[in-house]
Amino acid sequence: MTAILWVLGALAAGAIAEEMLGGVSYLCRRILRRAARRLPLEHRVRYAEEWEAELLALPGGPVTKLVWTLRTRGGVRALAPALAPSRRRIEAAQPSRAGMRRAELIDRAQAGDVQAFGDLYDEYSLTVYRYIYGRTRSSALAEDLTGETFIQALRVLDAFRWQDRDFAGWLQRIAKTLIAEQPQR
Amino acid sequence: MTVPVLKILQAFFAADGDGRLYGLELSGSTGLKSGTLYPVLARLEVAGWVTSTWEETDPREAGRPRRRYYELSPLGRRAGSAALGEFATGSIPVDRPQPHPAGPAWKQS
Repeated sequence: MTAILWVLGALAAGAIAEEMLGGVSYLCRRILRRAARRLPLEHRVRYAEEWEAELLALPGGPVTKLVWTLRTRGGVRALAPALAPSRRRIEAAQPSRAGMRRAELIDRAQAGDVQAFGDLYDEYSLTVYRYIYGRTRSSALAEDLTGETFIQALRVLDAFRWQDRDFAGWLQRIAKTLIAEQPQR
Repeated sequence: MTVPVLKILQAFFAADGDGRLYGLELSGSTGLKSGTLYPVLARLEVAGWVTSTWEETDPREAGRPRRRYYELSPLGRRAGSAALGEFATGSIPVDRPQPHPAGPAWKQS
């Protein structure tokens, strides 16, 4: 932040000439792209392009551009939640994009698509691993049982109904059973 | 109904032409800074009061990124004029669109 203030001060004092405009534009574009990356996935490309167009149309010199950029970036804190109301609300109201993708993955896996099952594994294995590790306190056992959980899940995948909504919870119940079946040490 | 929302609604009703405005124009006519403008526009868009579309130009041909244009949806027009009417009866040109008195500085030639 200090560096930014310094740059602003220098620009305002005219210590840095208009040739800097190119450099500032580059810096602004970078800041805006990074800011856009803090938005929900499906909105990033749109805002990156929108802001870049605005930046180009912005009248005024480097100071104006940089101030505008920093303000826009500051607004991301309010913009991100406006675009993505809380996860809980989305899931209650309508399946989120990620939720729809997962539903589709589960459908495809149930139809026998191995690739889709692999994607589900990628998405949920860490959650399952953490759950098991939390209960067994053994990383080796947790690794084994995570694999077991998915093998079991594949076997009984037909029994999963998407109405349950909670695929992670369903996996967790399988894992819980597997943990209970472990011989007491 | 917050003040920034009212300002934005007012700007749309006062807009001349096709009623489509891009961010800088809205910022110019409302006086809202970009840090406030985009979050408010996003909320209006999520609520269905405002819709946005890309400028119809090929960014490669134009050599610059496309602008994003905002306009009031029919819902926003109805709800917005009701809200503005409630807020300040008579002082806002709701039915008769009027050009913004001065216009944003970069549009003056």
